[in-house]
Amino acid sequence: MALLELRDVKKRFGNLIALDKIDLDVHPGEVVGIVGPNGSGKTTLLNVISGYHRPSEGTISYEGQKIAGLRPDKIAALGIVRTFQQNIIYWDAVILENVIRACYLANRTNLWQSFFNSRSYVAEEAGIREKAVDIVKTFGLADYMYSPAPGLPHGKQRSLSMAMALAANPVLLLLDEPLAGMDAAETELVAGNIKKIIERGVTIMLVEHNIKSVLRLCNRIIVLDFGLKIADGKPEEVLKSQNVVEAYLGVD
Amino acid sequence: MKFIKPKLKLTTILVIVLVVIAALFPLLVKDRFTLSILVEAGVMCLLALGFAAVLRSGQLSLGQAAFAAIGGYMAAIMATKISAPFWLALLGGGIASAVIAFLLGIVILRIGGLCFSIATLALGEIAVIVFRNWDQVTQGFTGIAVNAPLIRIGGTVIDFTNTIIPYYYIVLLFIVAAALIFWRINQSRLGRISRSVAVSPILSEHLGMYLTKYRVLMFVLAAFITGVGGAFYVYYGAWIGPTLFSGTLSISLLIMCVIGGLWSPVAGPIIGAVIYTYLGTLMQMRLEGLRPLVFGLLVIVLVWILPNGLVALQYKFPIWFKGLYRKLARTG
Repeated sequence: MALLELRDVKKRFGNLIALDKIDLDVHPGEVVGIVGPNGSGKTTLLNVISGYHRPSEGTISYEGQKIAGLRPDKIAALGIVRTFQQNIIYWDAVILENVIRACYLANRTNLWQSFFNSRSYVAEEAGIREKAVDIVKTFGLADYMYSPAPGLPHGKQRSLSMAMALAANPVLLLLDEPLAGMDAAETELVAGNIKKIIERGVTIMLVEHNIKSVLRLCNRIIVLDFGLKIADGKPEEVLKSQNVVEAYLGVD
Repeated sequence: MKFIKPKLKLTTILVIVLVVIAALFPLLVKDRFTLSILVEAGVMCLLALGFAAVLRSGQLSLGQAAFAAIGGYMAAIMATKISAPFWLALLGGGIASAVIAFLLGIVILRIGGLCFSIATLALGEIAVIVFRNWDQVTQGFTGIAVNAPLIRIGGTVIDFTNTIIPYYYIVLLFIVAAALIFWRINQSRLGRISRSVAVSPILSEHLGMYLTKYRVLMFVLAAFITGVGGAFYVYYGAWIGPTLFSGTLSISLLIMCVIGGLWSPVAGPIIGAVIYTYLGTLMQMRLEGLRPLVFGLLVIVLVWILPNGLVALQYKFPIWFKGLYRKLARTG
C-alpha cells in the first residue's frame, strides 16, 4: 500500500492554477525527487501535503487516512515533517536548543508534570537531550553545539534545519530545495546528511534544481510543468522522455 | 529532598535578600506616601508580568487594561451584590478576566500578530464604552464603591482603614506567587514552547506545536493574573469606574517591560513596573506638565544605552568595570 496518495489534487490561487490534477503515490522507502522549471508548483505541492495550504480540490491520504485540510501540527504529529526553502530556524537559541525544541513531538509528560519538575519529566528531558546531542553529532554539528544559530554559515544552517526535521521523527520527510545556494563543499555536506536520513529508513520527497544531486540521491523522479505532472518514473527514463526535454529546453 | 538543592545560586540568594528587604520595608519606612506608591507599583508588577507572558508567546496585547478593569468590576460587583469575601472576590475577578480572554483568544489568536494587537486595542475601547453605559451593572460614570476588605486572622480583625500596610503585604504575596509561577513556566517546557512559537510560528507549527493552544494558554494565564491585580486595586482604591483602567495603562505596561527588559520573563517586568511607577509619581509632583516630555526622553536614552532594558546591566557591568571585576573575582 502506498504511504501517501494524492488523487486529483488541485490548488488555485485566484485565477492561477498552481497544481492541476496531481495523482501521485509515494511508497515506503522511496526517495522521490520533484523537479521542474521555476513556478511549476513544486513548493506548492509540498505546502499542500504538509498542510500549509489547503488543496482546492482532490484528496490526500496518508496511511489510509485523509489529511487534506488538516492543520500542519496534526499532519506533523502523523509523521509528515518538512523543511523550508529559507533557513527557518530559532534564531534566539543555540544549535542544541534548536534541536531540543524540534523534539516537541517526543514529549509524553504533560505541562503540569513539567511545571512541577516531576521525576518522569526530568527523566524525559534527559532522554530528549541525549537524543538531540546524538542528532547534532550525526549531522556534523558537534563543534557548533553551543553556538548561536544565526551566526552559522549557510550550509551549517541547512544541516541544522535537517537535523531539526529528523528530531521530529518523520516517516515521510519533505525537503524543499535543501541544496539551493550552496557551493560544492556545502552541497557535498548536505547531500551526505540527506543520505544519512535515507539510511534511517525515512521516505523522502525532495524538491531540487540541482539535477546531479537529484540523480545521485533519488530512486524516482517526478517532473512538474505549469502545475501538471508531465513525467514520473525511474531517473534515467524520465530524463530521456520527450516531454521533459521540451519543458526544460524547448523544441523548435 | 529533591526541592532543596545543596548549592544555592547567587541569583537565588539575591532574590531571597530582595524579598526579605521588601518584607521588612514597612517596618523601617512608616511614610504612608512612599508605601502607597509601592502598593501601586506592586499592582503594576502583576499587570506587567501578565503583559510580558503574552509578549513572550509572540503576541503584543494592547488591551491588558481591559482585563484589569473586568477583574475589578467583577470583584466590585461580587463584593457589593452578594457581599462576597475579599479572597473570593479577587478569585472571581481573575476568573472573569480569564474567561473573556479565552473566548477572545480562541477566535483572534488563530491569526495572531498584528490582528491580535488591533483586536486587543479594540477590546480596551469597547470595554470602556460598556462600563460607561451599562448602568444597571456598572453604574456608569459613578462607578462602584467598595468597602475595605474584612480579614480575620486568629480572631483579630486586620485594620485596612487606618493603614495601608496590609495591602502592601497582600500585594507582595501576590507578586512572589506570580513571579514563582512565571519563573517556573519559563524554566519548564511551556516556556520553551512559548519561545519557539514566538520566534518562528511557521516552523513550530510544522514541528507539531498547535500555535493557538499555547498562545491562548499564555493569554488566559496573563488575563487571570491581570484580573486579580485589577480586583485588588479596586479594593485598595475603594472604588472602580470606567476611568480607573484607561487605554494608556496598556501602553504603560509596554513601556515598563521595555525599561525592565523585554526578554526577561520575571525580573524585567517587576523592575520596570517599580521604576516606572515610582519615577512617574515623583515626576508628576515635581514636573507636572513637563513629566511626559522628560519621561519620554529618559526612556529614549535608556533604550539607546540598554536596548535590552535594565536587566541587561548584569551583562553590561562586567564590561564597564572589567578591571574591578577581575580583582573581585581573584580575591573572592
